[in-house]
Amino acid sequence: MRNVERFRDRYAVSGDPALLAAEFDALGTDYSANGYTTPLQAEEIGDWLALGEEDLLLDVGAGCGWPGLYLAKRHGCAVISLEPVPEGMPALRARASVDGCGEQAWPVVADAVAIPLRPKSVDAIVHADVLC
Amino acid sequence: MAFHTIEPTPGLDPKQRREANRLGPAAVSTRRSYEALLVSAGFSRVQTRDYTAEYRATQARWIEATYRYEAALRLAMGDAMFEERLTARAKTLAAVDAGLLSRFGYAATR
Repeated sequence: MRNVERFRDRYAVSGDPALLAAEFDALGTDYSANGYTTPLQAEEIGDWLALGEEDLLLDVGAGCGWPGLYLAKRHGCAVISLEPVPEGMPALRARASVDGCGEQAWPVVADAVAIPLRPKSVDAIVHADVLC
Repeated sequence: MAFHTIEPTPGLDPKQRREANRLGPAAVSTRRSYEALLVSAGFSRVQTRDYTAEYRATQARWIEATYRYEAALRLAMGDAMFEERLTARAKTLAAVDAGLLSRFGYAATR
């Protein structure tokens, strides 16, 4: 199954209580994530990138918002959440609103091989378990 | 830039690498190291951290949680997706335990 189709199927069930419960038990998060970046590891990313309120973060392969939205909430930065599968957008937008960073979070449907941004237009880039 | 990725454990022989590619997630194989890729893309001051132990623990928790909520998960995603995910997680956990797969964090500046 192609990756896009696989993720389309996944997003169709994102937000399900059992999935969120399993995610919380495994990762300690409730972002409809299914990878391996724990909150502690997300914090370390924030420290590595030295994120601040003036920064614009690009989250590539953002899924439903983890860890980009979390980092935006923690550090007060703005975030562009890049995700190639449009079915993930509703959950991403809803979570940005819940996290109180809806005004500084911009979901964009795009593939990482053709990012629709000018060079040097972001201050930091994050991706978690996207390459593999 | 900072990112996490799963990759074949550095230092594998060709046979082990093929096994890592077989057991790992899609697109796990790489021809060059991520450090080399970052440098070739113009990044410098590459920092690396091995998160394999944490990855192993998280994957084990995912599997435990999958069984814990099995009935509700099967209802939500269907048997096919449930079993596909569980099988994939079990394969990668076995690969980590066999020393074939690792997870690293990378940070670099440009």
